[in-house]
Amino acid sequence: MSFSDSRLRPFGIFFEKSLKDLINGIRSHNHNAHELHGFLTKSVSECREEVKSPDMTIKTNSILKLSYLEMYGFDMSWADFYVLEVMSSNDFQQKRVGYLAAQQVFHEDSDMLMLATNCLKKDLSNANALKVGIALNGISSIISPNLARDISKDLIKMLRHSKPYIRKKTVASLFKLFLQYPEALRDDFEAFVEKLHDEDTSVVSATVSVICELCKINPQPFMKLLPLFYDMLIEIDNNWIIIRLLKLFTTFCKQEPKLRLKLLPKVLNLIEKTTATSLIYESINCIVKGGMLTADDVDTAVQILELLTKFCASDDPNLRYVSCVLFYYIGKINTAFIYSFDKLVIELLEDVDISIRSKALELLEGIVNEDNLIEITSKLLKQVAIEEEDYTSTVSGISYKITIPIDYKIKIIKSLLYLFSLNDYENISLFEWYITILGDMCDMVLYLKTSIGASNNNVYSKEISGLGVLVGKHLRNVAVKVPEMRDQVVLAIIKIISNSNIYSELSSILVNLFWTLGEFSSLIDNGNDLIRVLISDKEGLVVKLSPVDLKTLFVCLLKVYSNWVNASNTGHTAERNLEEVQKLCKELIEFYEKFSVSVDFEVQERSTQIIEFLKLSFEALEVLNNKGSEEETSGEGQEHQLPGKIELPFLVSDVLPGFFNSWELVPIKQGTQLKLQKKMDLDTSVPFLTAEEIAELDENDVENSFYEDIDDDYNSEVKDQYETSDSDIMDENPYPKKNNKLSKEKIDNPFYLQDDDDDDADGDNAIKERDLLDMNDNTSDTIQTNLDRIQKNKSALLLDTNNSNSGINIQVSRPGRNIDNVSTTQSKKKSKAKKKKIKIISDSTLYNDELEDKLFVNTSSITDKTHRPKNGIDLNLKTNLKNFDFSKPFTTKIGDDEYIEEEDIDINQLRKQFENLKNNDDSMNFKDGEEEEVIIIKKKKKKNNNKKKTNSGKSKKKSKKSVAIIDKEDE
Amino acid sequence: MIDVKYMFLLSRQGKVRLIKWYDVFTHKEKQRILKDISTLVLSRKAKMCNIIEYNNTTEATTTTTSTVATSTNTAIAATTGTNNSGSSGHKVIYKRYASLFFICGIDENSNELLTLEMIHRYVETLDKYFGNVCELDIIFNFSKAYYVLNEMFGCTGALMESSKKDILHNISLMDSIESSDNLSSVLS
Repeated sequence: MSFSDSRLRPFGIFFEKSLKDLINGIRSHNHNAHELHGFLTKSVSECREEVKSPDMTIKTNSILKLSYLEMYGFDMSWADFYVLEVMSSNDFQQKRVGYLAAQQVFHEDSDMLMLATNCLKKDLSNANALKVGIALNGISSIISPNLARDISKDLIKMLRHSKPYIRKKTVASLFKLFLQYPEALRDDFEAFVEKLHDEDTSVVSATVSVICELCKINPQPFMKLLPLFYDMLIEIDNNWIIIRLLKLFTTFCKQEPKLRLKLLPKVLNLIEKTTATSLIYESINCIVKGGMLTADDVDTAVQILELLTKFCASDDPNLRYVSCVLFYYIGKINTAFIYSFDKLVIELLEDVDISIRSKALELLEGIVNEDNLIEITSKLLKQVAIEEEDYTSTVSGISYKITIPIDYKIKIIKSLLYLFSLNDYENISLFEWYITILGDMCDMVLYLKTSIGASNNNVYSKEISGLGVLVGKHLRNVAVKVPEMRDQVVLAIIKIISNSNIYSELSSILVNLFWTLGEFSSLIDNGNDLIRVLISDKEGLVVKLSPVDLKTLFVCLLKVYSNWVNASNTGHTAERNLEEVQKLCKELIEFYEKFSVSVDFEVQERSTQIIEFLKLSFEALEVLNNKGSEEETSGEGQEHQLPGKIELPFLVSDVLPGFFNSWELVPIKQGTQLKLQKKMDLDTSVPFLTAEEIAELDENDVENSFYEDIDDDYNSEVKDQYETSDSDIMDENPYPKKNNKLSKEKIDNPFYLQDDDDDDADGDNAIKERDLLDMNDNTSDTIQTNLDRIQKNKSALLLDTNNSNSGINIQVSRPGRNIDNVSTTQSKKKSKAKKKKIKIISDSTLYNDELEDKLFVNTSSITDKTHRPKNGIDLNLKTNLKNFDFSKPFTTKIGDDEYIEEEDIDINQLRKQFENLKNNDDSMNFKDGEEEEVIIIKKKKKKNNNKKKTNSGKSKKKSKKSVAIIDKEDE
Repeated sequence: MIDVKYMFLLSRQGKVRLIKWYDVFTHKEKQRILKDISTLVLSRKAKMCNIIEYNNTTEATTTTTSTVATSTNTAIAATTGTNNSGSSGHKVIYKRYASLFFICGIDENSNELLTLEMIHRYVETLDKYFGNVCELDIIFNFSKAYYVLNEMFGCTGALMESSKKDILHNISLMDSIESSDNLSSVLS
């Protein structure tokens, strides 16, 4: 049968046709995916039948087809036995196909490998060099530890094969073998290393490659060959090998920093001599990544950076890209090196290639300063705002359209925000500009969000709402850290939240905005209008907010109300009459009542709490109002009441602000609170107050029990004190009493986070001091317009409440600031001088020692390989070479037959040892007296026991010692 | 010598024409790499460089959201930049020749320029072997393309033989054995 078949298909015609049939079939069914899939599954099932055929030609053919189909994602591991059959065929063609398929199919754990061992051994001893060659190829892709152990001797012998072709392939396959079976490297180290002197360059090249890769895993065994490699680097003129050697030295340098002195001149010399860019690149790589460039080695850095600058100017995007990456690494060594390359980096931000721009973004951190930040920002934000950019090549003058991908835009915004906040706004010279930019960013993020909204792209929508949070946080941070800018921030925030799209599209930003708004609402004059805008909720968007947003909003509204009601130093008393206060209170109650039935328990709870409090206040107000109207009718009240000094019920005037105004909040470094909890010795046994104090407290309570006071003429004493100083009043009232306790704690507890001393007191002064004239030394157009905008905002901020056409005029008080002068006079002072004028509160920390390297902190952790993603693909080699101990003694002489025998004994011993280790745990399960093997096991057992004994003996000794020490101590 | 972790040839329609894994991957990982990198490479514009940093994108998004999720509270802490988010992964080098993309996944520390040269050399060798190679040649003689690849990169993913002449010589020797085997089977 098979004979006649082969007669009918001479020269493998059937073979050719059949694969062709398959491929043609695939091509003709290519019209739709469904049809194609049907055809493919049909073909696979055909192959399943064919592969069982006794005819080797048909079998081979189907295996070949299967390996083709594997590229379409069909698993063919079920066919491993048939593959093995084809592999062991004597026919060269079939063997070739078999090995090809084996490389795709076999895995380390495949059972077939046991069977394959024989086949491999046979092929390795074949007289035909080519057959050996394909077997060697096969070995390296299917090797397992067991297989490696079995064939290691054969391969080592083949290192001295007469044909370089075989030697080369052997060296390559030894790499995989060493990974699986490191013992072979230890035992036959010399035989392997000898190949570095092989007369054939391709063998040398392969050997260097293998050593290079082995060193990445464990450089220790090759360290002693350093001089040899060094000589090779000087002598060899094959670029491929030199590049490998450089890689090798990169690894060595990390191990042995002393190498630097000798190697660096050589590598620099290499750079000068060669013209091959990939070699230059590798040399620089070697210097930078091998740690040969030290932070103080300016000469080398300059030399390298010059080369890289040339690369950056080249036409080849790949060169630009790799040099960008190298710039980054150099910047990591010392930022000062790349600091002067700001022009270059800014140019790269407008490269044709987006991926290069994206790399350049990472460099910004190194080159940014207050002079170029504005330029960088305007360039980058332009890119965010457009979909397509017209790019005109400077060289050819041809223009293209470049689409700017959304992930790049996201990266831009993230990087910019990061740059802004670097080292407490070190690079920001003009905070008005910064706040405007944050506002713009908010618009842009919103725009990005709406632009992807149509195309259901979930990957980015998450990231974009993340950006929203970031922008919100930055606004919050600037408000907290830069007291003088709070009014500006509040303005910006009001502008942002008056855009109703924010609520539906980018609600993630709101939490921080609401909080900031509430916290600094004392800067808002007509808070009543603001509250009405927020609670009117014309489009029903507020009700739909998430519980987190709502919770923040609740408190925010209360804060705004509290501050508006109690503001006494501005001239808007006309609006702030009692009726208005009362009316607003009622409106607020109505607003909160919407949520008193909320599904979210916390929203419900908070709203109810606030309602109850507001109801009390409302009643108190009503009482007062009635009284007031009586007074009005009697005609005395008008004269008596000074502007801005309407007398409010105690509940509203003191208790309400007491909720919030106890402390000025200060920025705290992330994680500080956590540390605080650890360090603080919390004494829960000692009461805060002594009995006398409590008694005193009770007395005070009786004195101004405020429920009664409300009806009476307001306790003027208390009020005076309240006006004179913030802190004194706390002694008098039950609510602030708590705060007083806090302040005591503040004094007693050294860990208490100290507010910056001059924060409250100097706040106003600082603002007055602040000289805006000095600020404005930048006359660029953008700034001018920004300033103009600010100026317009200043006089009367007309709220652009887009859709809700209410056009409310919310005024923000700006104490002691004279902005009119800004545009008229522009003095130019040194930037350093002007910076001092703005007070920036930096993060409070507990200790100085936790100063981290802020620069590149994030990035360095990235390169750390331990941070692998959980579900990411692990590209680490699965090998035990890494932890293999090469220090164990091994015989160095090779060549004698005796030696090999000796070695066999060694190996046997080794095996025993290793099995020993393996069976360490199992050894207890073995029973005595089974057979010869058992004897060995018994021996092992003894050994183990001995070891254990010695171990336990040691530990006993130790414990005795420790006992002795304890005894001594006792004495 | 996991210099090149994998190599595959991709048509412009996203069909795999040749694939070779030099490192151990599970079936799932293979499918994911193929899918991710195909979309990445096919979306690249002509003027862009041939190097892509491949991060497992799903992982990247989860980390960013987790940073967002933490500290939404009112605790005031300076937000240190979430700049340069995650690059644990590897580099992908690709080069387009006519309608085929030649794609290599390489180690993070490998030489990108060298890899491009290696790809180029492979294409040149194929070109010599088939004589003005086109996509169809590789489709119909995919096993031959594999053989050339194996001769050139060994099975370990590092360039083993840089001489085109030697490779072609060995391949032609093998081919001749093949045909003589066929001949002998006919004669027997």
